[in-house]
Amino acid sequence: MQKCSTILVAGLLPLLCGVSTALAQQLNSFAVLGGSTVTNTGPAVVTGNLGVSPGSAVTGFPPGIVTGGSIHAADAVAAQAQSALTTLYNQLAGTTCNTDLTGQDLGGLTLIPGVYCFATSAQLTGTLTLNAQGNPNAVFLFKIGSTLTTASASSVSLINGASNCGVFWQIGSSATLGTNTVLAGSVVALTSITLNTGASVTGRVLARNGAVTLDTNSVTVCSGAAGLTPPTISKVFGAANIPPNGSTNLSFTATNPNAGPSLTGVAVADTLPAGLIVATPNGLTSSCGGGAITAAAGSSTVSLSGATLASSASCTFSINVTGTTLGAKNNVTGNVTANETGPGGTASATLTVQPAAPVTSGAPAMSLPMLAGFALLLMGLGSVLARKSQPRG
Amino acid sequence: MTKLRPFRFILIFTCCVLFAFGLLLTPPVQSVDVRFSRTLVKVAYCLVMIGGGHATRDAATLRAPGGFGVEMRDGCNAVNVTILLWSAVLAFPAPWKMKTLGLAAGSAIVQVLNMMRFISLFYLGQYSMTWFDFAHAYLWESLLALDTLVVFWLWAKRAMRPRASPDARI
Repeated sequence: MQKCSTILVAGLLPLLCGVSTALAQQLNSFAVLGGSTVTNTGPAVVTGNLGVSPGSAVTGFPPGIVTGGSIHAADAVAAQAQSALTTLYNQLAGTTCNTDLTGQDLGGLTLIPGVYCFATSAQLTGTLTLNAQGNPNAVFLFKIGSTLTTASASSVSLINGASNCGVFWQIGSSATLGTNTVLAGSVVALTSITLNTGASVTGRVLARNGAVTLDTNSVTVCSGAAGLTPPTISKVFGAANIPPNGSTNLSFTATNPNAGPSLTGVAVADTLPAGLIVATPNGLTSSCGGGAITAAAGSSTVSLSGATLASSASCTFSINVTGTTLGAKNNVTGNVTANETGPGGTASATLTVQPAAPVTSGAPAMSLPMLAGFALLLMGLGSVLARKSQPRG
Repeated sequence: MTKLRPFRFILIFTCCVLFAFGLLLTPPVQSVDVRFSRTLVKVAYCLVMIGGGHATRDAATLRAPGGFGVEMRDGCNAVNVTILLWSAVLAFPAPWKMKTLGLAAGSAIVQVLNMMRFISLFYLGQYSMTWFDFAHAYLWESLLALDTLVVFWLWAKRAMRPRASPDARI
């Protein structure tokens, strides 16, 4: 969410990112979803679920094939997905524009993340380049008032970390992709979507009311939930300073920042810097229920894998580490990852291994009572000896 | 006159002690005291290095490579014990030549012993804090007190010997 806000104008962000997170799970698995029919001609390949609702007609499979999913014709799953699609469509449609591209051809443009609007129709002839500027969570939204049409062999090129899961085409009526078009993103149309021969989509083809028509196409659902924010990771040492061969606690907290779905397969690896090792015993504690934690005593690697984080939940695991050499130990984790998102960030913390504070003398060479007693003893001895001494000449 | 000598000793001893400790509390003397402590740590550092040991010195702290350190604070430099010894020597009825000898030799012996104490505590602390605490609080206190008493006793016995001069034999 936060990352999105850096790339989109304030106000639009919560909506756009929120849309994706809340609905992503229900739509996640659908590569193709139609409102009335889904019709195919030729050996189309749909990777992901294919569904239709409230209509029920799915034709052309085979020769078309559905892999990595199944066909849901007017069943509860399709109905639920269609319901989610309606919400998604409305929320996308309600998003405020950044840039009005009405009348411009998308071909030849290079765009950065944002919301681009067409009052009426939009045309893509040639190549549209989407530049995420290094942000894998970047979102590109195209709001098109009426139709989207692509010329033959048009394409969308994603650069600098852009993800096809982060591209949305909200279309007020229908979309028609020309032959051999290569499109990225989720095509969300109010009415119908037609893919001409050889066109391919990596994302989703989602029609609310009308038909989805395929002809020897490839539609592959994107691997992540569009716009879903990656998990975050933080870490902290139990103490800022330890003496040589001293130990302290090192705890990691992984968080799912998304209000909607859970994140699965949450993983992070941390290689301890030189001079810092996992303590013996490692003192491992964890609230990351399903996650597997590796932290062998004496080693310099710690890792979490396979954790599941519910909506807005966090989990913490901690170990003890031992500093073996003097100096500041700056420890940076690898990127935290999850199955549903792109890579998240890293976490860093610094521990200083420094000499112990000097042992200060709590008592002087001779404590005060001892000194007083000693003075009396010396006085007594002196006076006795003085009595025995000879008179001076 | 002989009967009065013990009282005279006690009086002078007490006056010397009060005067010296009073002087020790004044800022200028305290400043000298701190510099003296640092000098002793320098000497200890040199001795450790000459002996093949490893240490670093920071002001009045002698630190081992492992991080353990011993700091020589006020009172750790055995100045207070030296003051008592000086007071006893000055109060004792003896010729000034003997007193000078007693002050110099006594101070040297006390400081040598204190240096041994400091260096031994430096190594002992690296080995065991339990032993360090015991040696610091009990063992070395007793040894220092005993040493000073013996030094004073030996010196006084020497000062009490009949003098070789013809006048003394009379």
